[in-house]
Amino acid sequence: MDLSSDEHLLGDSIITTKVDAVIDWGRQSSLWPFVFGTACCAIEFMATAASRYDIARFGAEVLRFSPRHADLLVVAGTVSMKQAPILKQIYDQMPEPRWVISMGACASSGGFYDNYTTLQGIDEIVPVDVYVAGCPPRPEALLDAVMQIQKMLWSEPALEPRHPNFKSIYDA
Amino acid sequence: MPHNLLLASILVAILVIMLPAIFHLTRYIGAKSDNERKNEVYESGIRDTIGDPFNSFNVKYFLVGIVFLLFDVEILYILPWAVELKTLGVFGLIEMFVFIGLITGGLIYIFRLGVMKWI
Amino acid sequence: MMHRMHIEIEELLKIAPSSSLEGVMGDTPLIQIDALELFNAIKTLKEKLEFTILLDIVGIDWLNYPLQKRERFSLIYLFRHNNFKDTIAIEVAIQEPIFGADSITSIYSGANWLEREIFDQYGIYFASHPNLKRILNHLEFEGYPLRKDYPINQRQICTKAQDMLDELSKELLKKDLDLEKDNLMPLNLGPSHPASHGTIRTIVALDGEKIVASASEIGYLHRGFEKACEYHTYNQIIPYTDRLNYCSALMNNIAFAKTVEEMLDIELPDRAIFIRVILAELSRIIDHLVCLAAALLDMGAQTNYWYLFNPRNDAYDFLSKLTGARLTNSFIRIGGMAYDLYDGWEGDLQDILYKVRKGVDETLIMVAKNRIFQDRVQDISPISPKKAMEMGFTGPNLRACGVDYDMRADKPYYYYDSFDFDVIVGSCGDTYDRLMVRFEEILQSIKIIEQAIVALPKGEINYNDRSITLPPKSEVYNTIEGTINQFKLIFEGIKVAPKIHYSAIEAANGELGFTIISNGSGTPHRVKVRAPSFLHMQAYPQMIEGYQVADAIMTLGSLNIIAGEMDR
Repeated sequence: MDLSSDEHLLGDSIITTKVDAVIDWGRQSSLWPFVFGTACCAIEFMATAASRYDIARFGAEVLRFSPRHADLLVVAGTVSMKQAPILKQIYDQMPEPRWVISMGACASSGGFYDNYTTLQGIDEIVPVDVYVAGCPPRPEALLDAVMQIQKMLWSEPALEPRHPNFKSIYDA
Repeated sequence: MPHNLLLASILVAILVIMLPAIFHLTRYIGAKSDNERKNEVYESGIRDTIGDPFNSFNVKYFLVGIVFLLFDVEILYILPWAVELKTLGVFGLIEMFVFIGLITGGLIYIFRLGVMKWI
Repeated sequence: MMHRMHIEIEELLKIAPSSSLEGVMGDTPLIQIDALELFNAIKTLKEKLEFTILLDIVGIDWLNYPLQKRERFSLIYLFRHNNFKDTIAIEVAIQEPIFGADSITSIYSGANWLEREIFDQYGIYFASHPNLKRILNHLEFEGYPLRKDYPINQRQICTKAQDMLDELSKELLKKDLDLEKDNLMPLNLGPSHPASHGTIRTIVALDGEKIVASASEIGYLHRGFEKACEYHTYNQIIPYTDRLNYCSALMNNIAFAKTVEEMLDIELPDRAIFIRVILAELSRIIDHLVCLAAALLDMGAQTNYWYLFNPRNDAYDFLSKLTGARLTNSFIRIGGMAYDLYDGWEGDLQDILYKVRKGVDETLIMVAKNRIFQDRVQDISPISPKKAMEMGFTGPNLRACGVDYDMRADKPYYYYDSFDFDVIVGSCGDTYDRLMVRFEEILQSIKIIEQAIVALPKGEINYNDRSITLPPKSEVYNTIEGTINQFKLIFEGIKVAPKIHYSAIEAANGELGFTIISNGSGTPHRVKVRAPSFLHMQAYPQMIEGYQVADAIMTLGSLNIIAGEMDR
């Protein structure tokens, strides 16, 4: 058993797809978000978690503040160059499988801060699964992003690493 | 075997088999990607932690822990007594209240000493 | 006022013979002083002339400025008098940035971080500054970004965060303590922390659970607002100002627009003024709601978080109907507003005020006489009024100390002197006072809005001048003059004659001021934000000494530090 390789033990057979379905169903109903909230989008996230646009309806109720317990990283707000190593470290410390939502224009592409101090999109340092546009995005847009992640879960094999070949600006 | 003991031993047997099975299942079947950063200490995102984690702690934390332990053991004694209260009768009731009263005396002593204050 | 100016200049001339009246910024005299005489002049200003509040220190790079200037760099110091009405500005020309000027930290302790910021952005050194280190940019940054010859797009990668042990050891040395010998535990309340309200990092040295010394690091949300302003027209800067204090976005718009309108010397129509007052007070209400909800949530009182956030969602509905966006509105334009109020706004607004009052009442029922709440926040981190004014506190944090300073009452603007409202003042400046002052201010703001709704006149909402306000769309699409007018206003911007101006409003956090230097074109030469949160955060490490970690979290919540306006 070669445990150091990144492939899982069982091959692609009928049995694994059934196993996949069960695992996917368990994962999508209880995504635990880690809110990396920096700026205005964090206030909109707080409004999404409040009682009107309840994010708990989608299973993402338990907001964990340690990356070791979380599986969904929501980057809400501008990431400056000073903050970038912090984001990378937090992403690296999350256990597999992990998803990333880039909430807002600043996290997706730097927003309208095209200057010496803003990271032009967090996909320079972490692999992003869903981008949410808006400045700040409405809570319904964020809920749509969570639903997209849930849909994404179903179509991927459950037991394989998700972004094995991602290179950030720190690795290159 | 008495009815209760049989149920308890079945529960223990299931747990002893199931929990290690789940842990090992995720370890062998799940996807892994190890990088050297993953096993570092979580320090709100700051790398390169400095210093030894094995410095001495303040004694107040220990005191609070010990006091909790004592009262927890007291509760351990109260629980089976509460289950069998009817068969023990009035004598059992008074006996347990004497026990709780003695421990409460200890609590008042600790309070007066100032162990419960944090600063 | 002219008489007063003469008194001040005479006193200053005795100490600093080189001082001369350079100009006037509205009602503020701008006095030019030589760098060598600066320290003594400022000491006189504080001790004899009683200008005890340090407002701001602005660094300026005069490269490419149309008017001739003595040196390339200069600094402008802004002070306010004890009577809360008079302001004075001192300008110092810096010959060589390496020699710079003397640090005034020993006179005003609030100047510490302000001078560090100028060193960080311009490279001007300050002699005898206790800790001259970069504050907003990361430590691996090379160059000085706000200088005119630094290209705006030149990014520099930061590979690791700094360990703050050097600053912590300095703080411990002041008390003759050492981390190892006294068995103190250093703890990092990091930038990604649920209770640090955004990206604020504090490192504390603990003795058991008690904090012995601490140091803070900011700059994790530095987004280059001030440099971006130098490349955008005045109306294009308004969306940038939204994101400063994002909890009350309209107030930042109003502060910026007010400064530019004072530079243009225009009088807004009354309807625009009253609408701005209504929106400003509504923004103040929603900002206080967020601060209180977050502070109570940190304490564990989660129900109050729902009770206080629900009216905020209703206010969002109203604002999104009115302005098009929930949170970052950009509704104000130079010379008035973007649109007029919609039909039926009055009913919606009354509904929101009713819900806010209900939410605040229900929260106070649960919290005001609650033993747990009172034990958690009373007598925690008090700050004396003298210390607070020295550090540059303003707003509810200063009023909680007992100082009766509210710009709406002392230096009224926008007809605030005709509204009937109370200025809420606390007694001892602890966390309890800071939170309770905010509760009461919500109720006072509701009072002001109700009076403004009744008094709202009809009329125009924009100043009638085609070089400032956009023409109506019917003209733009049908006449050639309208099209060209629109084109020039959008592409070149509103032209403001070269001058320096400082103006401020009473924002939800304190005095939010803008120092704008125009150069005759449509884009400003320099914009500096006087951010209240920046000065409040400076006092935080000293305020939490001697209290427990849990108390430190409550103090941070009660100070209402918004990282967007602190780091700009």
